[in-house]
Amino acid sequence: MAVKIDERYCKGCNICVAVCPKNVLERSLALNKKGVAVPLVARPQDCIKCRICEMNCPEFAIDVIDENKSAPASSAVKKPSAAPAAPALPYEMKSLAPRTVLLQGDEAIAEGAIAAGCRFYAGYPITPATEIAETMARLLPQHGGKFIQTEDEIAAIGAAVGASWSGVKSMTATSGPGFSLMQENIGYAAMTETPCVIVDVQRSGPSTGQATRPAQGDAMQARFGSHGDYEIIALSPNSAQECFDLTIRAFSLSEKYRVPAILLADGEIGHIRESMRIPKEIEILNRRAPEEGDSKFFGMPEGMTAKRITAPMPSFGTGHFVHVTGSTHKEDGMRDVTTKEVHERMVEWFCDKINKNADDIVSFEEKFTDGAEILVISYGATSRPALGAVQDARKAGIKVGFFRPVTIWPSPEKRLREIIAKEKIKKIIVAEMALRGYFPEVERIAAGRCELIHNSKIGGEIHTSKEILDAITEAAK
Amino acid sequence: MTTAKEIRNKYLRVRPFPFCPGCGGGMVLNAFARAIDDMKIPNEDILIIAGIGCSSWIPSPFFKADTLHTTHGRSLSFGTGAKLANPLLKVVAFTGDGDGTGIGGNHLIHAARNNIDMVVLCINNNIYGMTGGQVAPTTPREVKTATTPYGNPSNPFDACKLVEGAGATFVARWTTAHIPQLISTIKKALRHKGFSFIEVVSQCPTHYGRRTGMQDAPSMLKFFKEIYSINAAESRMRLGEFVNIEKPELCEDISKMIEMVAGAEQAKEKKTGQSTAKGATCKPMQVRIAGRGGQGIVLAGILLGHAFASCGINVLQTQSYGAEARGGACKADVIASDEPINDLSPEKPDVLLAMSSEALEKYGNGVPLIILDDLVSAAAKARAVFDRSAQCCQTDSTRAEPLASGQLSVVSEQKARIAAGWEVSAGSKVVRVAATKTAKESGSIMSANMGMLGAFAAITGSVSKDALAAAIRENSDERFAEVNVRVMEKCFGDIGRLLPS
Repeated sequence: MAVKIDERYCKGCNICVAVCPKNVLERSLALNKKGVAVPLVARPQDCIKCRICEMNCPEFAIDVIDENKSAPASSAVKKPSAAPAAPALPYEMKSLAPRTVLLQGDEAIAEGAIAAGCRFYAGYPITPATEIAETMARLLPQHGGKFIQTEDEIAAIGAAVGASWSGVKSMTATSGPGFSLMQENIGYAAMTETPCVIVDVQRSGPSTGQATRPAQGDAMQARFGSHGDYEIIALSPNSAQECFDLTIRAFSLSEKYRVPAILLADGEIGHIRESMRIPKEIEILNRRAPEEGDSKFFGMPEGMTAKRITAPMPSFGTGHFVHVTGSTHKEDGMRDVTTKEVHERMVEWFCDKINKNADDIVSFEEKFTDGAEILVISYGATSRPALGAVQDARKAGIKVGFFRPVTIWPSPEKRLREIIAKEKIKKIIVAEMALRGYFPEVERIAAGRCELIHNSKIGGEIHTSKEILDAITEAAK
Repeated sequence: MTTAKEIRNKYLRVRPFPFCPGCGGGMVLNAFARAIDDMKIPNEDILIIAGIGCSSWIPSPFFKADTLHTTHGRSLSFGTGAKLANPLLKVVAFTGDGDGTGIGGNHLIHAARNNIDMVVLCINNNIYGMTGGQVAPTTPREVKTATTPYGNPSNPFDACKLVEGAGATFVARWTTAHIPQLISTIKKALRHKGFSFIEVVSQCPTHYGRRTGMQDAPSMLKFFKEIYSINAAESRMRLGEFVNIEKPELCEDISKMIEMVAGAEQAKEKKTGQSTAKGATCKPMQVRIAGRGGQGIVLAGILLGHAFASCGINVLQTQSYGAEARGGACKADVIASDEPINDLSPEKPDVLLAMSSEALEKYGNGVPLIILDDLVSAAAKARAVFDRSAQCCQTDSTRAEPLASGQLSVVSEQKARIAAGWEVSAGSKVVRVAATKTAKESGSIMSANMGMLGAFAAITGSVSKDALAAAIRENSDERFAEVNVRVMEKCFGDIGRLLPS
């Protein structure tokens, strides 16, 4: 019988000395090379093999060795893991029941989520996003999915991230105040490369603002709301049809790039009802599941190709023992919060995988830009009256074009720069329901090459076509 | 008993731990690993969740299982999502007194209330250790910490009482001086179906012991043995298993509900997906319906929208109302157009369906066709207008006063004015419909809005009665669908008889 203390791990706390009922161990005053006073096994002959010392050692550093007993084989019986997720195909065509329906924007978002394969929703009621939760609460159980109304929006995004790691596509939806609460965990999702969709049905702020009125003030928050360096994808629908279509796209991009995708809707689009078409078939993308032997689940994948953009993502309960942490970590998930190169490599990758694939992600709508001297830029609800105004102005002979970013982030900067350079754009009018909103991004892209006019409107009312037409007419003078 | 070596091989991913000498954290992990081992729970089935603080570093990344190390205080939210999405996971949270009852307090009480099946090990060291010894929600009064240099003025939490009150179905407390009891309780908690909370009072010699006159771990353990007991007078110091009861568990309940809903869906006859009325056509039009909250204004707008949409025309429907659900001003706009609809807020509707005097006053100006509910005439201001305009057409179920010509009413060229300043422009047609009266007679005063839609369809011909009836049946509450259709059809017929053939 012997009691062995592993000097590599012992920190000299002497808990073993205190708990030994037979006084086998003794405090030592002599320090070892590491500066630790490792307790002495003073009276091994008195040991009764109770293993209290083993059980109490905080460092797992004590072994009570029974010389008569040979080491037994590990008793762990490998059981089939809990609920192995079916290996998801990266691309999938899914059939739907095609039909024309009248849906509220919020309802169309929920329908889109279900079509995309979302089977988990967590949320907290907030105008004007509540209808998304209500629709998901009704639809999800019909499709075998789980819905939970959480205690707040922080819990909602947390649950969505947790569900995603259990292998289920997940979503949450909110508006300004709730979106502010979610920011920390959106950063967490970006840091842990967790696919999930967050809907922000923007309302008038700051703070409680005009709770029932639409606005477009969250563009910068959607990208920069959490602390530190990261990138997300944000899409902005301008109709019920797009609420459906872009929610599906948000899921696909989120899965493809393992990044939180934000559907940046607004109270106007969220609450209008429109006739729209449910298509016969949709394409959906799924995350890459690990293959035999994979152990690196984060960062740039080995052998990256256009179809292997991210590292494979295992699901909890499938025996991969994945470690997911918001602390800086290496490709195997292990925390390393002090090595400069690790932080640099990982965080640069989180940004690069989005920025360097902007051509794949970015989408926009462009009309009448040939020969345009004035360009109206508008997105979301405001882009509807903006397009009407541009059409009216064209009829009146004004050389004006229309440009609508569909992906707000990454922004369609490449195409915008081309238009500005090629078409001799003299003036850009940015029409949006915000005082700052998206304007700084357009300012950055235009880089002083043309005059910028901000046609901003706040107070909870959407622009009329006439108001934007007036701005165009004024600019054309 | 499993040897230390076996425990290390089976359950530790890496070593050494980053804890101070004598920290109780490793003791809790040791006890947890032994409980798991005794129960032979495979590592693959375990999901460890953790937040921020020393407590959360106890298993992360050291314990060999899936480990989700989340943001500060939020681990139970993440765990709730993971567990709901895969109920087969054995979810165990390692949290601290600050992480669990301070920043994460709200999640803790709601996880307990939900009785979601997970084990929460709350390692209570009475202090914020990782950040350097600041006061925690569990720090006793008068203790001097880095942020209470003159003594703690606040009362400490009794975390066990807190979660018990919130609905936890398994609650216990031990200290790191009671490892065998702790192992036995962890096993019970792992077996328990529901929310299990174990507070483990643990030593932080570095920040708490030092500040309270206890220099090392053995002296703190000795102190725990002395003041924490099964019979301690103060509840915070009491040890043992306090709650062990059965209650419905969240994941099971949700799964049962899903089965029920899925069954009901299958039983339901498959609805014909395509609601487009064959060959139905409708006329492009901008309609505004306005009244007070509670009159079904928005519902009328939605149903009219559905009726238009069933003809395949572009439809946009919006509404606005105040924060109150009943009684406030309320309007719904419906635009039906052959063209894409760009203007989302129609300035000038072609038709106004007014169900209150305020609505008429606010939106009536300049609208070519106004359809009034009979309620509106009760309001003094509105009466002033229509009494003077002799050419108003009035109908109700018992009395019809069409114009001699049989045409719809035309307010005289002279503008009819009311005291409030509202005016009906020359040329506006105004029709009064006994929608509320008809609805009342049909036994469902709430269906007046449907009467208004019926009258609208009859007068304008922009949408068919059948399309409206189909929209009502498909999209309104089953209990009211038939009476809604009856009232709509009655008003459609009453008005229709007055119209020139």
